[in-house]
Amino acid sequence: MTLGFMIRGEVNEERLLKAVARALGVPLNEVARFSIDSESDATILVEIIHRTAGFLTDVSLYFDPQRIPSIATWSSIDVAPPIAHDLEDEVLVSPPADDAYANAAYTWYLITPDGKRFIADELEPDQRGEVIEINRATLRPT
Amino acid sequence: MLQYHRTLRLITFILTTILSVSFLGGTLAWAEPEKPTKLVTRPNERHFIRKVTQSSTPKDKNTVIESRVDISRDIRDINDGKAKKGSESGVVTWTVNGRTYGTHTDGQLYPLSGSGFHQLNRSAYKALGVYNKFGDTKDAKAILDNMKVSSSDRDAALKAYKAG
Repeated sequence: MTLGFMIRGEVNEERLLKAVARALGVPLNEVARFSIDSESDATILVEIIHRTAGFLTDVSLYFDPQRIPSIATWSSIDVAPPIAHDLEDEVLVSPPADDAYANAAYTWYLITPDGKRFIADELEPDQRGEVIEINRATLRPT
Repeated sequence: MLQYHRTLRLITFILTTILSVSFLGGTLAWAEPEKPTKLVTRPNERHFIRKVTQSSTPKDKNTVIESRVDISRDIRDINDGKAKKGSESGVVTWTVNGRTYGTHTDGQLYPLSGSGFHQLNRSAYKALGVYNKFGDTKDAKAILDNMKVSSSDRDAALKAYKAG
């Protein structure tokens, strides 16, 4: 299973892993950084991709839902608010599956550190599809 | 006389039905072709199966496009007013050649549903990036095992990968 979100700023690995552990309610020693070159038995694997612009830290969380049933039904929108609060930064995340915008490829949920949620459209999506920036003029309440 | 009235009612019913169907059908068939107010443009690369990498930006729901889809033709047809305009959650959609696209406010299309499109969840989308780099190999399997990708998500990714 995979969850994911993007953080506005650059976040160092140690701080991010701690925030993920707290958000998911698992011990820190069960969270490790994902590497394509090595296997890991950690419960949660965290893939971190640093972007060159827009939301700079792109995070994917890999886990087996049978090992942590408490979050087996979570979606990305469930993990984003505690991460935003913990890191005191804006987090961009997919709209929930039952949201009207779930299928809108260029529309996101922006979560602020104080827990506010806004719908946001991408600012002229870049052609390579790796940099995500939002058009703040499109922010509207969820 | 009774037979005459029954026949008349039957003929009236049939004519009314035909007229109703014609009207409804005509409404759809004769709808004025509508051109987009702003020319639509090619979807972002992250929506093309062959362009998906391990660094592509995933969402919880992703629709990706097979390389056999003639995107240029779809774009041309939409901009020429040959597509059926629709709306989904306030987003303008265009249906053409068996495929439905959504549009960003700047006119950039994205795939929604139809022939040659595959819908992948986040995990399957990430798996597609692995298959695109390593192929359907032991290396890919080892990486996907490490990523805890479920068999159903691998199947969806592999189906898209093989469709190209």
